[in-house]
Amino acid sequence: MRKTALAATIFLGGALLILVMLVPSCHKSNGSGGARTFYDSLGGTALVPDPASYGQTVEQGYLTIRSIVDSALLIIQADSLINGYFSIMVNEDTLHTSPTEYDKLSLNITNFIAVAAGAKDYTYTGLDMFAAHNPDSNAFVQTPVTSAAFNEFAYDLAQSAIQQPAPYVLSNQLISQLGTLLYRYEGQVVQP
Amino acid sequence: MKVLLIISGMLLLGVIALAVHVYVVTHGRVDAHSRGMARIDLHQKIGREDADRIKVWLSRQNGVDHVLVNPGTAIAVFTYWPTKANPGLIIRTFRDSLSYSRAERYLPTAAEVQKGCPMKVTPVTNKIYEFLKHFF
Repeated sequence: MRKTALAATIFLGGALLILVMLVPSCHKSNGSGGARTFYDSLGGTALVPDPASYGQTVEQGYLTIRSIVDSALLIIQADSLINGYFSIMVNEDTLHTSPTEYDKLSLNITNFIAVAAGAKDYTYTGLDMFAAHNPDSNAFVQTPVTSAAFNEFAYDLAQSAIQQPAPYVLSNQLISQLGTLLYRYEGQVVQP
Repeated sequence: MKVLLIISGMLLLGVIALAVHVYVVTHGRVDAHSRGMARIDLHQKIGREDADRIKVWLSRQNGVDHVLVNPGTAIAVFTYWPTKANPGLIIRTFRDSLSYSRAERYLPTAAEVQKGCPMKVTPVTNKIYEFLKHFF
């Protein structure tokens, strides 16, 4: 009786071990899921050296998005139609701590777009777009985002995507997909 | 006696946790990967040639990462590594070296900062995550 119980335990333990070993390997080979996502089209989960952190690697899809966002933040800051929403980035008081407001904004927007595009290995931990832009749930929202401001933001992001140098060059189709992704959230960002 | 010891231990742990938190909050420092952004409002009309000249000049400054000059709005923006560059000094030198005497560094007021992008506001979980990042 004891021998049978021991054999059953060993068998179940072995089966569980095989299951645990198999599940992550399936996940890895699958990249970001079954169907090809926008994130896959931007380079997906292929690991490449991170130009911002020596010796570190980063997913190509994430790096492409981060490159677009970082350039876009410069374009936005020089755009008098919407730079008022982003003045925190050039506030000197925030530049002596790490991460800076620029770092935080870059990280938040990059993570948000990456996750929305289909990234599985990154997370966006900020407020959802509706809560983030609603004065009832976010005391920092004093100026509602207008439709014109949202359009300008999308335009600046597209300009950044168009101007990306190699190896981040995006086809017109991908830039169009980026626009489609952004406008999925227009109703949540622009609130009456 | 045992209860008193437990209460004292918990209080001590609380004090240590608070001290660590205060230290982390008040001793935040920029690291080698941190980047800041600075903006120059030129307050005069500029053309493409001016924009190119300003871009070249700013790009040559030590610690400057990326530069963008918008001739339409007469605004120059650059990112930099705070451990290597002093944006205030760069902008003062810029005004003295090039012929843009009305150029000034734009620094937002407290009211303008309050109207900022709400994506910087994150829930409690993110604040905890950022706090823990200091240790790991």
